[in-house]
Amino acid sequence: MHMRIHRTGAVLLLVLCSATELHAQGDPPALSSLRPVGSPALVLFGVAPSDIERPTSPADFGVLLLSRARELTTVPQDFAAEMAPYWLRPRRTLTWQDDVSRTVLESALRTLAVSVGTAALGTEDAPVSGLAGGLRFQLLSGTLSRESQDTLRALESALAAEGALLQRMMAPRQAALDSLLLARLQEAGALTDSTQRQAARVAALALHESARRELLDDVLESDAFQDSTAAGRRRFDNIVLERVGPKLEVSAAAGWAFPGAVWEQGRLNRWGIWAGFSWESGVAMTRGPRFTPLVLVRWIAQPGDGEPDYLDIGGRLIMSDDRYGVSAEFVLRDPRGDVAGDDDSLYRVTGMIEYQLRSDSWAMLTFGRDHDSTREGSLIAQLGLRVQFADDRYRKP
Amino acid sequence: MADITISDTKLYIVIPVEPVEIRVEIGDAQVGGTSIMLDGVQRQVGDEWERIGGPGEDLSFKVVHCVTTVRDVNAATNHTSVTYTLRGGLQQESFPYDAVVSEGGVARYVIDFVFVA
Repeated sequence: MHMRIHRTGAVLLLVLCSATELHAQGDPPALSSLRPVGSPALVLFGVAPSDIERPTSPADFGVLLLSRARELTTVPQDFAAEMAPYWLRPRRTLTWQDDVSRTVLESALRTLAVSVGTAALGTEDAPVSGLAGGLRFQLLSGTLSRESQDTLRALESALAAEGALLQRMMAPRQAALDSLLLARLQEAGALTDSTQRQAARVAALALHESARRELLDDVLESDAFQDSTAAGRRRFDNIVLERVGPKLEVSAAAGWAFPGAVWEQGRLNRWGIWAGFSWESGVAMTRGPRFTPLVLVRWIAQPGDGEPDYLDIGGRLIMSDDRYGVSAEFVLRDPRGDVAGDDDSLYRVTGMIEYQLRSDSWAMLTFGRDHDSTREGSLIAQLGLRVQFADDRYRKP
Repeated sequence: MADITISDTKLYIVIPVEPVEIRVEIGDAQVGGTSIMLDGVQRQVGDEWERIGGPGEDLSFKVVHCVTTVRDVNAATNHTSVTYTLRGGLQQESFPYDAVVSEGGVARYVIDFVFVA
């Protein structure tokens, strides 16, 4: 039997204050434009939706589609979803040791993410809905650092010890339950009729499991168990697993515009392709901050806007520790076709600071200038809070 | 965040005096540890085959208690899975379990195997 308890997962982005309109339509997003792209479909339209659906199973994905398929003649508003196909079904035989290093194919499959999203592109008088789809994957995703592997081995031992503690605390009462179960099973075994024998065994197991569950709950809720495990778990509260070495991520997306949100009037509006290469070292500094250089090439075509296509080439340097990240980026933009204004000014310089407030929330500060410094909204100044939350669910055979 | 606990009791048919082995696989690239207890003796087991009981020991009508604690460390999924496989009895059998936890959450699998002849 399979049982499932409802779960929701979402990332909430709260913009606390913004000095200006951060970006015009068609520009890359103000926040971390050179980071490995989270959702290419959303980046294409330069939007940061407040809620991204992340289905984690085929059933979740089906429910999501059904819930959004009520009015197929119009484009749904404020919708964003991303899913990782490889992880939609259980990977029972994939241990963490198997995932320390990856072939190119394994890397591409395990990091593949498909995203879709919608955005309002037009004005209040002439609304245009945008619908975009995209994907990303890493051809190279580095290897799990030696330090991370040591951490996981230590965590394995700690988790096994926690289980051993639970067994010891259950043992005095468990022995009586076991004796009762074995007596019932021996009685069942003496039955000559196989159907009756099987039914008696099932009943014995059910009775045992019910009593054992009660015992288990008593121990798990006891102060003695909770206090003992809390100390061990605190050691691993903020573990950070790092993949080091070369990483090459490829992303692509295409977006369609729907004037008046009418499906049949949709046309291709823009498309783009990104490639980012970075190299993170986990050996040079085992203590203190790490430095990660990143190079990115991006081509954006905008056939539907009458805007020029452009090629972005840029670099980003990230300094990070367990709880913070500081980065600076520079992007040079090369427009193709007729361009108004001074080409020389088309570059972008930004700095970004992220700080982990709690295990599930980060504060972010971004500042700098966007590509065209004469354009409204070219000043980038943003303070934000990113919160992640989720409930639980489980399945039992 | 609250842990998820899955509890179950399964029968496994053994052949008297024949050795029984167990393997515990923790999937989804998650991390976890397993403790098993037989007749009050505990030890850790992993994804290699491990013998249960001593040489020549009759395991009929004995209970082996397994506790596997898994923590979500895989950024790509919150799914956890544990597969217990027993061999040496009437036939090799696998007992798969899985749970989805919150980010960084813990799933605890408390499984008893009762050996009957």
